[in-house]
Amino acid sequence: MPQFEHHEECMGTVFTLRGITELSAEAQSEAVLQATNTLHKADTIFSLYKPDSPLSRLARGETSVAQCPAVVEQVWELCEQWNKETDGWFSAFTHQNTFDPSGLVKTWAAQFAADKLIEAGIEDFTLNAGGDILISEKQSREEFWRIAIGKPVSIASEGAGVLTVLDLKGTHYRAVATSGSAERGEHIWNPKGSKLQKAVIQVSVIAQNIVEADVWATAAFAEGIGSLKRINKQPNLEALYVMADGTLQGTDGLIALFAKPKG
Amino acid sequence: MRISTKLATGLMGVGVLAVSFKFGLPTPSTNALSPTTSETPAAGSTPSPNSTTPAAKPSKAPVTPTGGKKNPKPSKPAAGGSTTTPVNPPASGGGTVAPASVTKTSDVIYYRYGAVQLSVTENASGAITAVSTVQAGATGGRQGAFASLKAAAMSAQGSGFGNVSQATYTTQAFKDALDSALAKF
Repeated sequence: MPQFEHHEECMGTVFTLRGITELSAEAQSEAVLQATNTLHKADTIFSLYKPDSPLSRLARGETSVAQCPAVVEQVWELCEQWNKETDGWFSAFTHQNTFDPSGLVKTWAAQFAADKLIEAGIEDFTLNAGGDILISEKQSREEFWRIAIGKPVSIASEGAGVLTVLDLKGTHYRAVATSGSAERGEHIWNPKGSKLQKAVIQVSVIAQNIVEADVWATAAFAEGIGSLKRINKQPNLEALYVMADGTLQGTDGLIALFAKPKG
Repeated sequence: MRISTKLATGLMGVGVLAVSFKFGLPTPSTNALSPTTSETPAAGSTPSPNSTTPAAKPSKAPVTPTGGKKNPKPSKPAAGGSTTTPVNPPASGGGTVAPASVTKTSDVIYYRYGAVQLSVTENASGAITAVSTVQAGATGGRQGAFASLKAAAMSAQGSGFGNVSQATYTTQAFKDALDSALAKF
C-alpha cells in the first residue's frame, strides 16, 4: 500500500502526518487537506499571534466568550476541566488574566485532524504536532509504535539528538507529549506563583490520547518534580523528567515502556 | 501512595554502580556479583532468574549501591573477575597489541519492582566505556530503582523509531534542523 508523508505549517510549528492507505493518491490528498484545514481553522480562531482572531479580540476585551464562535466556549470549559484535573497546574489564564489556551489548542486541533483522516478512510498513521505525537489505533508499522524522546535542546542545535526510545506497541498508550525550555523558553508560566521552577528542564508524558499527554506535560513542567507523585497516582499516565543536573526521573511504570534493544 | 524513589541516574550513579561492580561489593537483595568476562562488547546470554538462589527473591528494601551490609562479603577472587582479564601483563613487549576491552555481566539484580542485569565494558586501563542493560524487567508495571532507569533509557537509544517527541519547535527550528540533517549526507 502506498505510504504518504505530509508536513503542514500551522500555529507557528510544523505538523507531520505519515501513514499508509489504500486510497487513491487523489483521495489521500483530499483527506490530508480536510485534516489540515481543521488545524488552520482552529488557528484562525485561537491564535494570539493574529491580531484579528477572536481570541486576540477577547484578550483585548473587545468581545465576550458568548460572541465568539461556539468552540471558544467549548475550549474554555475543557481548560477548566483540565485545571481541576491537574489540581490547578494546567491553567489557561495568564498572570494578566487573559485567556490563553495555547497549551491545549494545538493538540486539541490535532485530535480533530486525526479524526478527519479516519473519517476519510485513513486509519493507519501517526500525527506529529510539532513534537507531540499521536499514534492511530491501526498503526501497522513497528517503528511508528516507537517514539523517541528528544534531548532537552533545540532540534536546530548542534546537540540535538535522541535521549531514549519508547515502544508503545501492546500497551494502551497512544500519545507522547513533551514540554520543556529547549525551544520556546518561557511559554509556560507558573499558575501558582511568579517564578517558573528550574530544576526540571523537560518532561515527557505518555498517555492514551494526545490532549491528555499535552495538558499533563504542560502542567508537570509548570509544577516541576512535585508532579511526579501526582502523575504516579494517575493509572493511565507515565512520565519521564530530565533534570537540570542531567539526571532522569520517571514514574513507576515508565521503565516497562523503553524500547527493547535488538538482539 | 507510591513511593517515588529518587533515581540516582546520572553518570555518577552509573559510576558508583560500576565501582561496586568492579570491586565485587555485595549487592543487596541478591547474591554477590560474579562477573564473567568476554572479549566482545555484546554481553552474553541472559541467565534465567530462576537460576539464582532462593535468597535472591525480590527484597522489600529498595536497592542502594551501598546498602549491602546484610550480605557477607564474598571472597575477593570470586568477585574479581576471571583470570582471562588482560590487565597489566608484567612483561609487556612494548604495547604492540591493542588493549582489549572487557565486558562483564552482572548477575540478575532483584529490586523491589523487578529485575535488572547490567553489562559493563571496561577498556584495558579500567575506564568504563559502556553500561547497558542485558535484561530489565519490571514486575507489575512498576519500577523504582536507582541506575536502572538511565541504563534502560540508554540501552533503548539504538532502537529505530518513527517520530521524536520534544518541546514544541518553531517552524524555523524545524527547517534549520532539516537543513542540518540534510547537510550531513
